[in-house]
Amino acid sequence: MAAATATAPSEGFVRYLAALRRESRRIRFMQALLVIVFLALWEIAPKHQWVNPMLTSQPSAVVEMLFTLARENDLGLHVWVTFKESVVSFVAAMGAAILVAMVLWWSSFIYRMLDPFLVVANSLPKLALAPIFYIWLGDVWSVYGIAIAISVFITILMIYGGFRETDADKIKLVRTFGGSKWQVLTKVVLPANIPVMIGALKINVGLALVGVIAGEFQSSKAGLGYLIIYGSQILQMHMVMASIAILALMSVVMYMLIAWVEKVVMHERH
Amino acid sequence: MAHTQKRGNGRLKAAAAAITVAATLAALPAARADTTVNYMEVIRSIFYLPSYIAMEKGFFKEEGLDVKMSTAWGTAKVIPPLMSGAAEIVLLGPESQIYVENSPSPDKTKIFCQLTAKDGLLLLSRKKMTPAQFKWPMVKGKDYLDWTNGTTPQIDSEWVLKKHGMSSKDLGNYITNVASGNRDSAWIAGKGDFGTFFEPTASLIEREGKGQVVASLGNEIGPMAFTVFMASDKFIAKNPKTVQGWCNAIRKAQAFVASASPSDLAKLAAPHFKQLDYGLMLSAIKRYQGLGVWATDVTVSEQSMNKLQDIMVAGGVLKAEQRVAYDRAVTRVFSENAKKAVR
Repeated sequence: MAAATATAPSEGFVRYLAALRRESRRIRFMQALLVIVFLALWEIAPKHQWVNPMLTSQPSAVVEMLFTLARENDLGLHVWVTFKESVVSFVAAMGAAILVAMVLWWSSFIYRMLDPFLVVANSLPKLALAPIFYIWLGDVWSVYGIAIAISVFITILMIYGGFRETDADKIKLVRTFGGSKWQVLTKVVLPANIPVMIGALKINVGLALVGVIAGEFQSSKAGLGYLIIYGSQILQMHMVMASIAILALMSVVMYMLIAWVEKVVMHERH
Repeated sequence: MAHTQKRGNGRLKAAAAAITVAATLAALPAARADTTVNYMEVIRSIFYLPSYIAMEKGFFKEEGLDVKMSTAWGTAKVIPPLMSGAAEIVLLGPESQIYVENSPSPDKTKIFCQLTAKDGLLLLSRKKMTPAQFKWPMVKGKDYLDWTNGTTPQIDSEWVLKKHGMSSKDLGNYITNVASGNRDSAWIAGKGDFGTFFEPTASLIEREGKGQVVASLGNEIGPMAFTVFMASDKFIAKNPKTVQGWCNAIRKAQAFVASASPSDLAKLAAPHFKQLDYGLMLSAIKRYQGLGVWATDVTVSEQSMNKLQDIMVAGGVLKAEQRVAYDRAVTRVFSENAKKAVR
């Protein structure tokens, strides 16, 4: 019976699949439309002076500015600096968070001791620390400092939460067969939590970018945050908007990279 | 000094004529009901002393103006309210006028009065020395803590270095990556052999023994449009009386500031500087008064606008072909009238 439906799906099921496909096509279409309408409005409104073009800029001017920046202002360098700072920060935050989560999992004493501090550190608005980081870490490292601070605590809490939720029966099984605590950690807990870690990575990309840009606002010689500040100083909204557009693109690219990693890792797991 | 009158010459002349007529009407005795003016200053600074003196001495009131002041804390934050009309008269650096003039904005603005006549930046040396011992070539090879790239203080330093046959490349470490809010602590923490600061930071650093004032950038550069009052063309056309009253009040304040004692000035301005200790304020006022940073003429001259744009072009924030003609940047009708009305 089951085999029969697999070889010849019922008419209703085919129709259902087609409807699903139609709907996802409609969603794609609406998404494209949304982007087009947004860009068109952004282009037309300043042109007809419904809004002041100096304050809003417009897509055509932003594109033009991108070319100008690439020609005259070393755009590649600015993009690279921000990209590098973000990647280094979220990799460092991720590594530190996994280590700390492992320690917390290992010793419930340490966990119970640190728990209230972690909660406070996590809820503290990290941007408020930016000036202090600047003084402590100097002009270069403060950018990384803010980016790491902004993402590390939430990651620790997420990953530790995942560790604790690890299937207790599996742990019991390994213990019964005489596995050590270290083996439980490396053979059961860590592998079981790869999806959690990838989830944390996805959140971290955005947070690290926030931290990097905030850090660049504080002190920088290059980077997209630097371009945004420079552009607003000389009242060049085109430059500000162009930098923001690249930032948006950058976060999409980084998110897609992680989605790709997720796909590869998950594929290997199954 | 090739000025380019790019577009709309006829429109400009018509506008100028309209402003002249309006200003003439405005010079007539004012009606008595007070007019509320939404005024925005770019930052709160002792450098802007004459504006606070005009308020405290009631000079605006005498002109029938009721001033509602707000502080933007940043040039970029002044422009949107100025364009939307939320801020009617603003105090900021004249480079903004150049940027607005070169922007696609359909609404334009004008400078109509000046507050400071030169740069108020002071060069501090970490190593103990007197202004007499200091020579500009000493900065060669040394770390120089400047403001961020593209700001007027930064391009002013470049200009002064150039004047002395150097450029920022001749410095040891040219530090331009410190946001304005962090500069004081960066210097205190030991960054830079030389650095440029406004008052009262300069006085604070001296008091803490972390450096001495050795030169004034304002004296190096000479007369230059530095802090001015601006309004939108629309506002000026509709409210010539207000603009005229403003100029008159500032002229009175300038005369007062030029002759009053620093301690009187400090006492008058104190309500606007509740966080600042009196000793620092007094020292700052003394120094600025001595340097003559506060304008004694309300008119922004053509030379001082030229100087500003020379520095902007040299500093790379303005292209030579983007220079704005004096008439497009400044209307002098009101300031000239003020000089006749207030003697």
